[in-house]
Amino acid sequence: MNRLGTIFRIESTKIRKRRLSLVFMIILVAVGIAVNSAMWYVEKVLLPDLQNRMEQSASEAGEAGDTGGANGGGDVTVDVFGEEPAPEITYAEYKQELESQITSAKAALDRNDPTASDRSYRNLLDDLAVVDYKLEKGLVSADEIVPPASSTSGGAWQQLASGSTTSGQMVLTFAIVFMAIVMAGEFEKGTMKSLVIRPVSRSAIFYAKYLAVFVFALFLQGINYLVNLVSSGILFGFGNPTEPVIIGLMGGVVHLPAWGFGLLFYVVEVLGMLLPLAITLLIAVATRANAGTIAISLLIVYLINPVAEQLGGFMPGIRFTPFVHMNPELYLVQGIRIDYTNIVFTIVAALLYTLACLLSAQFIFKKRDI
Amino acid sequence: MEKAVRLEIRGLGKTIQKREIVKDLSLDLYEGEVFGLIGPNGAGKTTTIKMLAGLSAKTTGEIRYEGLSTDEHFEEIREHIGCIVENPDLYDYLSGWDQLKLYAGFYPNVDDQRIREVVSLVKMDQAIHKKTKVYSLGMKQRVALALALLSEPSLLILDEPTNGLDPQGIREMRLLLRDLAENHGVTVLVSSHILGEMEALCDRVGLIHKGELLKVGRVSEIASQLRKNDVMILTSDPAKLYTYFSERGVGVTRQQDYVRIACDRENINPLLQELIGAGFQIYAIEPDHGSLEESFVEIIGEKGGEIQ
Repeated sequence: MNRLGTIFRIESTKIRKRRLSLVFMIILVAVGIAVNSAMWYVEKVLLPDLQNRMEQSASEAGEAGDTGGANGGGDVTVDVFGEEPAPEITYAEYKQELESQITSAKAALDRNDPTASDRSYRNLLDDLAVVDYKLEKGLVSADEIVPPASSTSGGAWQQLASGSTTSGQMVLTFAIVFMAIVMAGEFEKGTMKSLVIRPVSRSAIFYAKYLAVFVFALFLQGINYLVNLVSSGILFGFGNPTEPVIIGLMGGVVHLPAWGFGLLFYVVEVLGMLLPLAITLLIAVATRANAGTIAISLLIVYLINPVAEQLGGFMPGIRFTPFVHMNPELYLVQGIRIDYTNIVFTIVAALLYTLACLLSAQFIFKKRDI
Repeated sequence: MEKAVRLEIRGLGKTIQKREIVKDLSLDLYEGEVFGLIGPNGAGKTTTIKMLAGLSAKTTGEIRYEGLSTDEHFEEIREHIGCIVENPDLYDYLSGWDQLKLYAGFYPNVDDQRIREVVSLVKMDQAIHKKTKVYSLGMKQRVALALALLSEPSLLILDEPTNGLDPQGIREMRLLLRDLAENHGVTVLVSSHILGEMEALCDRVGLIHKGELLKVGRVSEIASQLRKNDVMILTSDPAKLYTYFSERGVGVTRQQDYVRIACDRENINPLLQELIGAGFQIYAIEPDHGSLEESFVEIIGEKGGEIQ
């Protein structure tokens, strides 16, 4: 592993000097601004306008009814969002409701009811943990009304903490493209030869490439977060960065300020890139074909991964495959999505599979003739 | 004074899918010599060079650089080796200078001054800051050579280094390699399938065919072994002379007014006397060595190969 630092600097320089890296950065910034602007336009211009028009047409219809209209439209109600108003319940009632649901979910699991769901049961436990925590810490009182789930003070920090950056998957796609280019692309172009004849071990070259792309992905994801924070901050306001975010996790709670939760989400999201990048590297080393590596890797990330996650509810064994451990950050915002897993299980499984992919790819890279 | 052995190759072999690409190749390369590995396409030159450069694993044998086995000390040894294998592959989004600067990172003693030196050596001063995607093959070859020379290697391994070079470029490369060998003690191993180039460049050559090293020797020795000892006889009646030789079982061919037979230099006088005695009008007897190229083609041809 001699000279890993030297070869890492060289690999990073090669990535930096490619025009494609600049193109990817520009795309990220442009998409971040565009999506936030579009959201602002929909929320601040289109929807109020639509609501006004609907109200106007309702009142006109009402007037027509008053003046003897035949179709009896006077009782038209306008519901722009198509949502039923949430029933108003207190925290005490909510807690009771959760406890009752937990009891029945547990009973269903105990009698091996085919409709029972491990993930629903444990998500309920997490929800209960949050309610207990809030009541215990005096953050809410038992007779206070539970606000709707979507209700937050809003603002860019909250948006970041809710994991709703626009381009997280785009960053992974870009990183996969670069991983293919720096490994399979160098085989295709023949430049791998002039690299391997330098006084540095093949293992150092291998890990330098992986780390250089991973660090580039960290950087891209950083840009992504920053662009989203700034653009949504300018358009919607920044909100309070210290507003608490409390989520249930593994039966306990995580209580962080919005900025801290955003940071936690960033760390877990980039950790989640380790496995798909290691799989890409393995494919690149095995196939030595740039386009093929990109195609297979994107297929795994965008087709096999979501399909496997959907199957997670029906096939408990799928949790032992690598394909359901590529999005650990979703545990922070969507709870448990695959039976008999949790965030630690997923991170450990992802790291083990990452290690397995890297060791296999390293073995192939070291042993095969170039 | 006996020159020191820089590279010892013993019993080197490479088998891929039960096919022997290189067979039991043994060779010593000395300090300050230019050695040419000559063979037709597919003879095993590049495979041999790849094994020497550490790109391919050897199936059998041992390679030692100044006594150190490449099996145990390859990273250390590589600091002293400069290589071009197959094509001069460069990163097309970088300039020649960027590329040299990038790889200078591997060698602690290589600074900008050294980079300028190698750029000047390969005569790329004018275009070194242009992106390599606009370079001609010859320019790429020069930058690849500059990359190989960057660390002031004592062993230079160049696979078909004159590919893409114009005659002036070939001459310049020859002069550069000769200078490195003669004045700086660098050992140069070049491969080529073009014999003419090797004649002017190399101190010794090895003929490789179907993975076997057929002959190794000084260029002059190999040339004399390869050269034919034919003579062309110009006579008034070539048909009669042709018949005369044929009747006596001598291998003979006719080329217009000439008759060609094999005859060593020392036998030319007795032959002339015999022919005059037999009543032939002899106007001239000229040696016809043929080119090295032709002779090599014949050797390879006997073994079922081809050469360009």
